[in-house]
Amino acid sequence: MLPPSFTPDLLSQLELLRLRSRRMFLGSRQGGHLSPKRGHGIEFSDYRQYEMGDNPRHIDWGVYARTDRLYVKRFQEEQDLHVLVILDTSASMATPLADQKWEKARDIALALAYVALMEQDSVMLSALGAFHTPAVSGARAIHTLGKLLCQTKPGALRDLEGEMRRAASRIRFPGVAVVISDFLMPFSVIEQSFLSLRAKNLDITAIQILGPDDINPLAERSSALAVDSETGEIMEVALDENQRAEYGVLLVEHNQRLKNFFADGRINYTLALSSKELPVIIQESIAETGLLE
Amino acid sequence: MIRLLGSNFGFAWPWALAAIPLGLAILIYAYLKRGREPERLVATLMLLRFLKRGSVARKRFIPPARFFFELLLLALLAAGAAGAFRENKQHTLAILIDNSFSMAALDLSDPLAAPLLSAAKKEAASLLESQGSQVKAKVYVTSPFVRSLSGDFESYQAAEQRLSSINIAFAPDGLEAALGKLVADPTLRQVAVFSDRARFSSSMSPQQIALLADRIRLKPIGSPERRLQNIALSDISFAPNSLNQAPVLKCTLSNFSLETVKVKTSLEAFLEEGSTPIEEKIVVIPKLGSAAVVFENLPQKSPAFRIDIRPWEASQASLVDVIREDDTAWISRPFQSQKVTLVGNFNANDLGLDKIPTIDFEGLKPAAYEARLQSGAEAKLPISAQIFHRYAPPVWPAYNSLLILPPPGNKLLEVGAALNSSSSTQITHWEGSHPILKYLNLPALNLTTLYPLRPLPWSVELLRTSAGTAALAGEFNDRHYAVLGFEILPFEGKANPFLSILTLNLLRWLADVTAGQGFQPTYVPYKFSGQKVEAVYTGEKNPLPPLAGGQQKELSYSFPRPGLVKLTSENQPPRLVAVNFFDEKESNTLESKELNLPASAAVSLKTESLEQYKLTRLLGLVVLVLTLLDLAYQAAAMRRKLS
Repeated sequence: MLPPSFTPDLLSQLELLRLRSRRMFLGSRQGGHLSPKRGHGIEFSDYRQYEMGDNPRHIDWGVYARTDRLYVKRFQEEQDLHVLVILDTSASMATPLADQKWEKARDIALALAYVALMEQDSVMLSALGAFHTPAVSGARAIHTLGKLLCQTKPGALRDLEGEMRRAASRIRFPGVAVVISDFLMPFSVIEQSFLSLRAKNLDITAIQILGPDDINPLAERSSALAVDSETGEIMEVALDENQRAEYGVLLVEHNQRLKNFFADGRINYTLALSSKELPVIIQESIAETGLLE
Repeated sequence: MIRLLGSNFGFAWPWALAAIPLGLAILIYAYLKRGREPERLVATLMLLRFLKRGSVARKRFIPPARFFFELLLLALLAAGAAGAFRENKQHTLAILIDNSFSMAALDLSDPLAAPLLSAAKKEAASLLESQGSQVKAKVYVTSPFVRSLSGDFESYQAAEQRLSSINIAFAPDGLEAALGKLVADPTLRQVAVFSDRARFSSSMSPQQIALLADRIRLKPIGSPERRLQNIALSDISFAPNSLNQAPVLKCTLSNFSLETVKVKTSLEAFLEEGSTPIEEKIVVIPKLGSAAVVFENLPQKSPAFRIDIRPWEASQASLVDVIREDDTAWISRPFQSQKVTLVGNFNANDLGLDKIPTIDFEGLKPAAYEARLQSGAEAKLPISAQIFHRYAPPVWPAYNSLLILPPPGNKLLEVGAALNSSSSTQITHWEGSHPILKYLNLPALNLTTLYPLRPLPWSVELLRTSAGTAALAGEFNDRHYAVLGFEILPFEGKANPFLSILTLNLLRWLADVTAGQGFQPTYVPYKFSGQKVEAVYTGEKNPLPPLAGGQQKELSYSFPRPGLVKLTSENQPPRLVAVNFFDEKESNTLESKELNLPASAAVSLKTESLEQYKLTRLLGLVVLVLTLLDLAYQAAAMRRKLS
C-alpha cells in the first residue's frame, strides 16, 4: 500500500534511478553494485600472474605481447547493497500538520526504498520509536513498507539516541544509511545519535526536511503562546519583523552547524522543503547528495 | 434606578457592583499573566527560545473573545449579587379599610360629620385615582376578619367600586393580624391602610418604621387632634334581686370624654305585639368614668328588653357621643321556658323536677300517653322533649326523649335484670367527650341499682360497667334519644350534684336548654337545633342565612349586628335572642390608638417583594447556562485536540 503521491508517473521515474554509494560494500548476494569482493563480474578490476589452473580465456594477450609474461584479468563481484532508511517519528515531524513534513519524509523514505528494491537491493526501514523492519528485498516488499509507514503516526519517539542505536544494531551488512529528520533538536542529541551509525562504517546521508512553519514560525500572527510539540513547554512569543529576521539567522546558524557536523563526519547532507513536490525533492535535494543516479 | 426599555431597573445592594471593576482588573491581570493569545503548537521552541525578549514595541493588551465572555459572566454575577430588580410597570396594591366599630365615629372635622368609614373610603378612592392604570389593586376589610372583597387583582376603577359595599362591622379591627397577613403576601407590593389608628407604635424602632414606610402606607382617618368623645353602653345583664324575687336589669354606662355627661337611660320591654317604654332614668357619668344603672320591676311577660342612652343636653350630643350605635343594648331572658312531657307514674313535683327553672313539665300517665299516641294527637306538640320514667313507649317517640329505667321486656330495647350494689358494678368505660357527661366526675358515680342495657346499632355507650351498659345515647330518625339503666331522679340540686348535673346535661342535650348571659355577642356562632329553623331580626323580613346551610339538625348562626333575633322552628316555641357588641377599645374614640406591627410582619418586611428578585434568579440562570455551554465547548475542544 503506497501513499497517493506515488503515482505511476512517479514510479516510472523512480525506476530509472539507482542508489549510489561512495564506497563499495560487501553484499549478501549477487546484485547490481560493485563489491570489494573479486569475482566474476564484468567490471575489470586488475591483473595477476597466471597460475596453473586459471582459465586461459582470461589471459590478457596484449600484456603478454608487451611483457612476454602471462597475466590474467581480475574482475569485480557485483552484489546487492544494503540500505538502511531511518525516519524520525518525533512529534516535531508532524507539527504543524498543515506543513505535511511527516508525509514528505515518509514519501522520501518510500521513494528511496523503492529505488533500492527495484535494484534488488536489501532495504531495512526504521521508523524510530515505531518499528524496525528486517532486511527485505524484491519490489513487492515496497507495499509492506508502505503499509507500515502509512499506519505510523509520529509522536511516539522519545529517545532519539537510543532508537538510533537500536536501528544501527540491526545492521548485519554495512551499506548505505539514510536518515530523514528535521534535525530541530539540540546538537548534543544529534551528535550522540549519529555516533552509533558512524561506528558501523556506513555511507550515511542526512536529509533534513523543514516545513514553512519551521522557517517562518507563526507566520499568520504576531504573537502567540507557543507550545513545544515534544516537551509541551509553553512560551509567550511575540514576533515582529526584527524578531523574525533574528529567527531566520538562528535557523541558518543551526543548519550551518549541522552541515559542518555532517561534513566532519563525512555524512552527506541536504535540506528539503516539505512545501516542494516529491519529484522536485528527489531531483534537486536528494540528487545533489549523489545518493541517486 | 435606571430607566431602560420602558422599565425601571434598580439594585437592592448597589455596593456589590464594585466587584465589576475589581474583577475586571483581576481578569486583565490574569490574562496578561496567562498570555494574550491562544496556544499554538510549534515543532520546537529550540530556536524561539533564543530570541531576545522585550525588543517588541510596548505590548498592547488585546483581549481575546474569551476575555469578554469571562467579563460578561463576572458582570452578570455582580449584578445578581447586587440584587438587580426590575420594577413592574404595574405594581400591586392592597387597600385595607378598617371597618371596625370605631370607624362608625362621626368625623367632626368633616363639615358633613360623616362617619370615619366614609372618610376612609374617600381617601382610598383618591389614592386609587392617583395611581391610575399603574396599579392592580385588591380591596380588603379588617372586620369581622380580614378578607378580600376582590376576587383577584383588578383595575383601580373596579377597586373603587368595591369600596361602596363596605359597611361598619360590629367587631374589633384586628389590624395587626390583617397587616401581618397582607405583608407576608409576596404578590402585594404595597399595603395602603385606612384606619383611625393614627400612627405606628412608639415601641417600634425607627428602622422598622423606615422599612414600613416603603411597604405600608398608613393613612390615619379622622382629626389629627383626636378629640372625638363618646359615651356607650358597655354591659347589660340580669341580676338576682336581693329579696329573691324577679330579677333586675343592670347595665353599665361608660363615658369616654373629658366632660361629665348627663345621660337619659330608657328601658323598653318587648312583647308579642311590639315594644313598650317602661322606665327612664337620668344618670350622670363622670368624665373618663362609668356608672351603673339598675331597672327593677321588670314586666314578667316580657321575654326581652332594650336600653337606650342619650345625652341629656341635645346640643351636647354630637360633641360627646360620636358613635350612636353603642348607645343601645338588648337583653333577652336567659331561659325560655321549655315544655317537657313527663310520662310516668310520678309527677314533676314528686321527682323534684319543679326545681329546674325554665322548664315546664307536663305530667302524663302512661295510659294517657298511649291513648294520645293512638289518637294521633301526640304528633305536633309544642314540646321540647319527653321524659319516660320507668316506662317505655311502644315505639320510639317523635320527640327528643329520655328513658329512665325502661322496664325489661319493653319493645324498644333489651334491658337486663336489675343488679344491686351487692354485685360490684365498676365503671369500666365512659364517653367523656359526650355533652351529656360534661363536668362529671364519673369514677365517683355509685350505682345502687343497675338495669344493664343492650346497646343499639345507632347508639353510643355513654357508660359501661363491669355488669353491662349503664347509659347510652344516640340519634335515630333525626331525634335525640338517651336511655339510662339507673335512676337519676328525684332531682335534688346541690344535695346530689352529680345526678343533678347529669340531669341538666341530659335536658340540655335533649331540649337545648341554655343558660346564657342574656345576649349573644356579634359574630360568635350561636347553635340552635330544630326543624325548619328561621332567624329574623325583629322588625325585618329577610331571614338570616345559617352558617351551615340546609335543613341540618344543629344549625349555627352568626349575628352580624346588635338587635333582637327571633328564632322559630317546628315543634319549638319561638325564641328571642338578644345580640350586642360591647368593646371598650372600639367605643373609646378619645384615646389615640397606635398600630403595632406584629412580629410576623416585621420578618416579612425584611424580605423584599419577590418581584424585585426576579432578575437575580434570572441572572443566576443565565450564568449557569453560559458556564455549562462553556464547559461543553472546552471539553469538545480538548477532544479535538487529543484526536
